[in-house]
Amino acid sequence: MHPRRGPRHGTAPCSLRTPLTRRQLRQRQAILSVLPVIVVLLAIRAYPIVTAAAKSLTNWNGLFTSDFVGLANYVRLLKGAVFWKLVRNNFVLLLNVPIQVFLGLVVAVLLHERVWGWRFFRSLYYIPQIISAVIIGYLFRTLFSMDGPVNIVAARLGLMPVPLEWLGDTATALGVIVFCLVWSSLGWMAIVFMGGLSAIPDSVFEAARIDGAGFWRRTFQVAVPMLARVLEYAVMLSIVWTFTGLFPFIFSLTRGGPGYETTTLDYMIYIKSFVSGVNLGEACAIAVLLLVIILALTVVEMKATNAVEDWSE
Amino acid sequence: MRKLLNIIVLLALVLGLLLAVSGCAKKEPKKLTVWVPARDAYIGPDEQKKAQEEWYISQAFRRFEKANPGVTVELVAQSDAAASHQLFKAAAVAGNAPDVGVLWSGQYIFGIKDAIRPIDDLVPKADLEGLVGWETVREDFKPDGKILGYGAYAVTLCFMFYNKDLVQKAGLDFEANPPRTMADFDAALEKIKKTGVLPMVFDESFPWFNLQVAVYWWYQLSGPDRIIKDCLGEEKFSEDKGLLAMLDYYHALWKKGYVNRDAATSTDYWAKFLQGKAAMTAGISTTLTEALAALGDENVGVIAPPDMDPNSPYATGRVVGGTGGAVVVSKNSKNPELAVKLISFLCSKPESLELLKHQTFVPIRKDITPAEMGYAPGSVQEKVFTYKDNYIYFVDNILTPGVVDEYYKLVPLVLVGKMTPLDFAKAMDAKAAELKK
Repeated sequence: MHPRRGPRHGTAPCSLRTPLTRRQLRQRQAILSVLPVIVVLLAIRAYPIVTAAAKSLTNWNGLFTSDFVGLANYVRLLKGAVFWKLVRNNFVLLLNVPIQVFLGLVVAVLLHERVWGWRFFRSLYYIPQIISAVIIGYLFRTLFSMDGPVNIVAARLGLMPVPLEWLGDTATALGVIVFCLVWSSLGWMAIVFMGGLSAIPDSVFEAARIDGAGFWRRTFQVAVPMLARVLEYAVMLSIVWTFTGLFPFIFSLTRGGPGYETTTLDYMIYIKSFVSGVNLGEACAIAVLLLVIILALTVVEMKATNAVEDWSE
Repeated sequence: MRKLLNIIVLLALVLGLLLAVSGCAKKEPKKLTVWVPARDAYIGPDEQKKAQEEWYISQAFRRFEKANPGVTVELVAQSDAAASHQLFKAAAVAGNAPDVGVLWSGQYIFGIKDAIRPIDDLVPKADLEGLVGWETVREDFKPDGKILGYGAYAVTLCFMFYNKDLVQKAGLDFEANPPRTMADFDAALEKIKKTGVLPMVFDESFPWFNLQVAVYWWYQLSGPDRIIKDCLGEEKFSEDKGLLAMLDYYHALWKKGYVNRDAATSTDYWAKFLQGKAAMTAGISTTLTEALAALGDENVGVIAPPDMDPNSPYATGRVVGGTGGAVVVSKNSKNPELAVKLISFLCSKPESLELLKHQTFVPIRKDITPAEMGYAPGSVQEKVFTYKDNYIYFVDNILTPGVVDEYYKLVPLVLVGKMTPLDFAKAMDAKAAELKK
């Protein structure tokens, strides 16, 4: 018998020659298509995360000292008052998310309904998004300094006889940062919602208007339920950004001060790594804890969105 | 015969090839990479506005290359001087640290000594004798500690600037009668305040005044050994009476309204002083030119801080200062001899004088006189020059890494009364204990 016409059953070589089904082929193509991205992601994301997690269990000084210390870094952090202050600051700054969502939604619906001058306002709202975060930080620092425009205007209007040191007090300093974050991200949020709104037929809003629904009802009883997934995406990204992306704002606005009153977790990682540099193992431990917090918040947020979607159905 | 000829030709070819290879090896250029902070070191504030080829340091490297054929020096400007220590560490771990790094002296380099090549065996004797600042680069400040670099690029001195017009309007003459006691100083500040002028302006969001002036009082009362022991957890900050007394006075300055109310958060003290909005501020020698240009030569005065303890061995007209910079050779350098030769070249008298044309530095060389620098007798510059022989080394360079960062972060809170001196000292104790573990 010609070897190529051998039995078709029972041996491995024969099974290799079995033609792939269309589904198997598609699966292979899919795997091969995403494989390069997965490899790159593993290299630039997973590897540093695993390394940081491993280093968080050491007393790594950034050089050649890297002895295993178990959970000592975590224990020290969690026992110390400073870490909890950083967590508090991050959670206070999360206030920017609901404000951003609310204002972003209002702006998006207004622009979607093409109010007078909507093209101009669409560009105007997006401008802060294209300005460097460091410049925005310095801008707000100048605005809210003791001799800054905010105090001058407030004094002229008779609102504040004594100038306020906005950045010198915990509450007002955090408030200024929240304001700064909302101002700089409002355009992004509005654009995201506008993208979601564009998928909703105009007839839906038209019908609501004919039924007598005012602006607020159209926004919160028509738009919001239909934007559940967009909302989820926007909220989740904003939460992650609030925990990981505020460094340039904090650096230029308050440098985390006074004391640790406006220092965030990501800013502390910078301090421990690049300013002090004594115990990079501890910086890694903060990074790991930050990751855990973000993952937990993401899970909570996703569950909440699913619940909201269930209700709306 | 033919075989012999072939062998001779082959040998000639091999010999020629070997000669060519050895010739290439001889001509192989040596390259030094040098990290320099983009500000407050070899690159002055005015130079940053110019093209890189016009910077002093670029031109100095070209002169070194000319004097050493076959050598090239690559300049890498580091934007963040503080972060460059960590970057230097990271590069050392990766095995690609630059040959030479311009860092900060004292604890900043002691903390990364594993990445630095000691250069005791390479420093010329003439440099050891002719330059100041070796104590700041010897490991752990010990007289026999390993030399981790050159205390370069200049002696930086901290003192108090004053606006002569504003001070004279208060009926004071700091030239003839500078305040030498704390009582005199308080009385002077009160007189200035009564004229409606802000007596002092400073920004403590990064505690410049504290580090440039107030620590002088701590040093005077406690001494350097006690400060180091506090940092190492061998003694307690909270039991250091010198520190507590300094912090009490530091807060009192703010409480009595002698300094700007927003000192803990402001960032424009220098502009305010130059605009004549305050009578005094703390400053360093490198900013003298700018002050003279803004306020006029006749209107700028300088004084040393008053003494908290006139009987202290560290009293009487001293100022905080020293060679705050350190030029080090990395362990990764393949040409440490050449690297030291470059540093020595930068510290030579001709190069020091050339550098002084670009920036207002107090030179690290002992053989440069005020006259050689063009300072007129009795001028402010000459007065600053005299402080060179009588400084106490930067206290923040004595504080250990980790402890110093806590100090930077928390001391502004003491100024504005949001933290008591004792609570601050306890927080410092906690940090020192944590690092001791």
